[in-house]
Amino acid sequence: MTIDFFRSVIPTAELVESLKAGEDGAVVLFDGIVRNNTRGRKTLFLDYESYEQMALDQMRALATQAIAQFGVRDIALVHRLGRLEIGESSVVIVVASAHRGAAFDACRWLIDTLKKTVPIWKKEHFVDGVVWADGEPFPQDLAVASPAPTGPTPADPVRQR
Amino acid sequence: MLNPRATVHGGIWDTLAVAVNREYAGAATLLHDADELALLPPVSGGLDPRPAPIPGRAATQANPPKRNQE
Repeated sequence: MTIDFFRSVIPTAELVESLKAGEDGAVVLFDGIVRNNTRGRKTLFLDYESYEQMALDQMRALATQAIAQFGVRDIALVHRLGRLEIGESSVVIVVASAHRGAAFDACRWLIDTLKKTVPIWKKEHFVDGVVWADGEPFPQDLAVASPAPTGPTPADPVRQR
Repeated sequence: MLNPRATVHGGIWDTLAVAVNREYAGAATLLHDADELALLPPVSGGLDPRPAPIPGRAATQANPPKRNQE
């Protein structure tokens, strides 16, 4: 398992090659790259920051969970921090597995979950201003006081209105 | 105890998560001397709205990841 942060270009090809083993039948790669706009607003570059020690623990936990639940053999999950230009890779996920279906499923679950729960933040530098990206709401049971759509939860008094 | 009700409800507490010693923590978490407390704004890795199970708690979710039977 490879879990890491990079402050320069992510060595994607090396990660893929280093993960392969004889018993694998498939390697699935997700390469998240910096888009040149957000909802039509032109982006110049991004700055990524992280609460690094917690993020590494979270990433390791996600990879461990994915290996156990999807039955894949090995995972590389790495993120870049600092300034990224348009087209550069911000996150790379490689999943090696005996079968392609499990590898695709694990890879999709890893990126979706990482985006919601791993403490990494993105500052977007646009042609006409700079903003920290809004981010997605935390999943219900991670937020401190997110409203409960199904009503108050007795076990969690914080959610009572 | 972490007690958001003692502060402004409907404000930033509606969007924050709290971590104690680098793990997500609920309101019932007891703090001890030298604990590392972090207030986390929503993380921002992208705009994909697709829901995903929670790490470490997938077994209690309605749609836990399924092992592929291929």
